[in-house]
Amino acid sequence: MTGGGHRLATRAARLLLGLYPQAWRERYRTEVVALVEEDPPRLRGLTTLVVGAADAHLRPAGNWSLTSPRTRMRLSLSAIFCCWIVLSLNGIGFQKDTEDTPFATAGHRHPLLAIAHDAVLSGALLGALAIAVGGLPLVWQALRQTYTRGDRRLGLLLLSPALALAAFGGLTWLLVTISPARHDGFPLSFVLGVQAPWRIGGFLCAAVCALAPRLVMARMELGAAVLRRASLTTAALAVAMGAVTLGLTVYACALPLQAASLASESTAPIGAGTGVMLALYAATAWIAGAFGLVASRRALGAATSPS
Amino acid sequence: MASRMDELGRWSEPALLVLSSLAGGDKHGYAMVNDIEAMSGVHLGPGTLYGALSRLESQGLILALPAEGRRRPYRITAGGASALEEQLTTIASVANTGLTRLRTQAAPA
Repeated sequence: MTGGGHRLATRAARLLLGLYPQAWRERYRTEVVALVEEDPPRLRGLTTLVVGAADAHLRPAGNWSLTSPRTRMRLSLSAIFCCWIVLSLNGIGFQKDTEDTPFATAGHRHPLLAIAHDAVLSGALLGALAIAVGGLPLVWQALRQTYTRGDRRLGLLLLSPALALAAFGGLTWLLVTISPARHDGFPLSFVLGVQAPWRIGGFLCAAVCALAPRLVMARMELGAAVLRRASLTTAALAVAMGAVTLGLTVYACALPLQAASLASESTAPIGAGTGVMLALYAATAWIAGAFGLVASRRALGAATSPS
Repeated sequence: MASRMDELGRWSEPALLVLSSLAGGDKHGYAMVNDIEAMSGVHLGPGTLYGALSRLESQGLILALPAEGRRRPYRITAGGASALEEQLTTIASVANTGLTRLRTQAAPA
């Protein structure tokens, strides 16, 4: 193999290492890079990296057991923060969609709806408290490191959720300003010109907010004590996620079941679109909640294991 | 102990080569690749080598030693040596039986 071929093979191997799970990369990446620099792989060698990456994803428990408790706490925390942000955005959408008078009326008539709604709000409050206790010290540590190390990229990552929210707010304002007057229904021009860009903007903003904690935590140096405290608060976060998920599910199931009795009222809130949105909120909550619970269990396991 | 090697599935052959290499002393990845090639004629790709190493390490059959720069040497554990001995004994028994039968068949009646 020529010098150019060596460099190409080494670069390809480095890229393929990106396919491995993060826990695996943290444990073996440096060694494998040293190996491929000394012994640049041919095409067959590169394919072993692809097969190895697939195997590492299919057997995560093996990688997990090899990582240190501190790394396990860091990875679990970034995962649970990501799940909580997804769940929070879900909850905000639910709150926004059910804030109108007809939903309040339905809640008064059917206590189950009111209980489910309150469960979502209580879970959101508990989750916010847990994030404040466990997450704010991490944010403070990141801010200090941004200042003491002069790490502009860390600062930018820290600011990215605020910047994304500001950009989304700006997009919302712009769309409200330029959107045509709408008297009844949702014409196609309104859906394509206003709703679609707003929803795409919202999705991108949510993606930035969900990924930012992971990238910040990967870049900063984290003390064991602050990691352990944050990991312990994930127990409360797990309870909060359970409450939000169950509340959304009960609400999404109970509202259609009450459709017949609500139909007699002139302010009946239930419609096909509402039912679909509520079902989507509940389904997303179950996915985020399940991943969050697994991450919480791992964080607690790492926090209580001897280091 | 043989079952622990069986648990390695498609990685059992590379794992056997890795354990055999480490039976001769502590080695890092590059040294293992060269030793295995000299010993068996098999050149292990980086994905295969580290797939086997991660499985052997998580099963406690090898031990990662402190890193030397970017390289990290590995050492076979007592459990790994025992698993290797058992596996090699089985292979040797199969090889001996097969060779004996071949020679018996090849011998003129």
